[in-house]
Amino acid sequence: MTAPTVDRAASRSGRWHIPITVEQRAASRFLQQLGVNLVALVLAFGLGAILLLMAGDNPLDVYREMFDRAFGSSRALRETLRSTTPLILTGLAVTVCFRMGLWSIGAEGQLIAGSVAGAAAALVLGPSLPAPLAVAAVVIAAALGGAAWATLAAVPRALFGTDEVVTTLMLNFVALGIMNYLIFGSVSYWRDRTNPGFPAGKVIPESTQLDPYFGVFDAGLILSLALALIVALALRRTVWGYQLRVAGDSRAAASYAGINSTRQIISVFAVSGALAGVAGGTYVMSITFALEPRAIAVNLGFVGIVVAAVALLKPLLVVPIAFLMGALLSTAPSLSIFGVSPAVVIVIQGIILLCVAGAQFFIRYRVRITRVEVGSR
Amino acid sequence: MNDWVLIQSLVVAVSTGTPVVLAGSGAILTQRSGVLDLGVEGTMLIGAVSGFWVTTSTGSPVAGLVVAVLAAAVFSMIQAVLAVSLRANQVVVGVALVILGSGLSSFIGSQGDPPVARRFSGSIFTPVFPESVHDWPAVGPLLLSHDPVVYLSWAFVAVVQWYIFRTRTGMHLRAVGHDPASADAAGLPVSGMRYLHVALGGAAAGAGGGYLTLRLFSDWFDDMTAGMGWIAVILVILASWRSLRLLVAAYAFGAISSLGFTLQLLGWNIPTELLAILPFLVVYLVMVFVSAAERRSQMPASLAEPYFRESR
Repeated sequence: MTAPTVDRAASRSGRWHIPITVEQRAASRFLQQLGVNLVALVLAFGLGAILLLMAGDNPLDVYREMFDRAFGSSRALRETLRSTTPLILTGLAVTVCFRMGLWSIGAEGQLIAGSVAGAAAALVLGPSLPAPLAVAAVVIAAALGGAAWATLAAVPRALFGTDEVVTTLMLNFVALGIMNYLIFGSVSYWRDRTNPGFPAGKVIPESTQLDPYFGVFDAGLILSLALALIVALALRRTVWGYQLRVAGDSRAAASYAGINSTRQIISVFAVSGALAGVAGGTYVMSITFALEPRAIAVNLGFVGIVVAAVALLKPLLVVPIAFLMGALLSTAPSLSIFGVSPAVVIVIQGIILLCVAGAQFFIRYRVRITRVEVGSR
Repeated sequence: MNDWVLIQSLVVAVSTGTPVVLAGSGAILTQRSGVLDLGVEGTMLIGAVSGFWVTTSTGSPVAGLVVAVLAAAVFSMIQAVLAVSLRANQVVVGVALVILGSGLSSFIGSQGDPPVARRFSGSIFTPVFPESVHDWPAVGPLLLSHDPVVYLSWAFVAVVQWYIFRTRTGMHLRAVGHDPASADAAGLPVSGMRYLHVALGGAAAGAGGGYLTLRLFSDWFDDMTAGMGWIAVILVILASWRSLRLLVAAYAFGAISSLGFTLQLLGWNIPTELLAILPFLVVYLVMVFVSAAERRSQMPASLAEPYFRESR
């Protein structure tokens, strides 16, 4: 660990006599980090409340309503858990990439690719396969679809060093465009052909529709929990995960250690893309039951970044954070009934991510007020 | 393709590209100072909605544009505080600002009486020169048929180019973005320069957003930027942080985005959903080819790296 360095420059430089000292912390404890992030969560709701007040709404009423809509009944809980599943998966997808220092923001596009592939598998294989096999086929197809889409960013990154932020972003829009084309721009295999005047996705066969157990959660949630566990173990207990963490801490160290970065980048992207793809597949099987662009393109990939950041890039922490974010998301539709713009939910997500990003400063540095001697000028 | 179709297509390409010219030139200033502002998409939306609100309330597109610029500059201060003072990860902050800008602009659009999103704009920017001039061969439509914001964007591009390469402050700006430690040692206010140029970049993105509501669409709807802000940030990289090259790239983007218009004039019929993919696909492919061919990047060496005086 590096020794703490001390900044007295601010009070030394002469022009600004700011009585604040910033010190780099030697090491930061995990619980402290988590605590700072939870404070950031609360702060985001506080800032959201100010926005609601400015718009003339009573934030306490709105938040009580949101709480009811998220947890108040078994139906509410089911909606929350339904929104949780894709967020666990996109949160994991982002976690895997970010842990290696690959700033992929492509979970959105990979989720869409997974939905398209998953819906295709459901429509083709669903009628002829028994339910468990049909669901498995959809999951595998969705994973492959997402992984393939991620590869489009991974290969240029691995071979030419093409900035992954740029390529993943552009590929998000391309994926969205393709999905829109399949439903709105053409009479494709995915489109419901019984009603030509009203473009909509063809409903997937019943064998691939997930039924909730106990009326509350479905197989998609179990799958996502299992994947969270697998990702956590893979990061901690496998050579692949060890090498990923080494490369994330220091790309140079990884290369000295002889880790093949080309293969590594592609495999990490593929795993990340597969996770996001499965998010798309389960979303189709448990929420939309068809390739439905308007319901699928709701920024689940971007919210995955919020989840991963709040969860400190820890796969197991992704689960509870995704649950909180899922609760938040599932309240959005009910807000408009209540006369409040559902955009409040997006605003709160944005503020959460900003607060968490800013809070890192207070985790990495210690800020102290220092005494300035009178007449030190 | 006959000349009339070509000229009309170019005119549309210019107006479609103008928001990107404005936002991109501003992003050049920000990135030259060493801050990567991925939040442009969100900043543009803030400018777009606030400009539309003011114009539909006052009837003055100029007032709308001014407010768009100011609101966006204020919004971009979030980026400055987090990226410069709190040394946050700039990719995460950028994504957060896009989410926040998207949500906040939609929220603002639901406010007012009648709500901004339901208003119709009676007054938008109109061409500067009289109609009769527009029909002059070639120069008429290409150079003289535009609205004041297009001319403003040309002036802005020229000023940015001159400022970065021909002025002392511009040289300081490049130094701050290239090697903040040396710039600091030479007595330059690194954080101050970064704050200032984040604000300028935000203001320009706001103007770009304002152009969407006050001219290009003359309407406000949620997430209307549809990726334009992201494109602006990326074209800055492709233009090697030079505003004149950015102008060309932005108009190329405008031409590709408005290809549907051209094809319609030619009587072709291609689904709009496919055409909508095209600009993003092209930028993706160009990025891959450029990085495959590139030997040496002209990127500001300290782009997206927070500067911490004590850890140098």
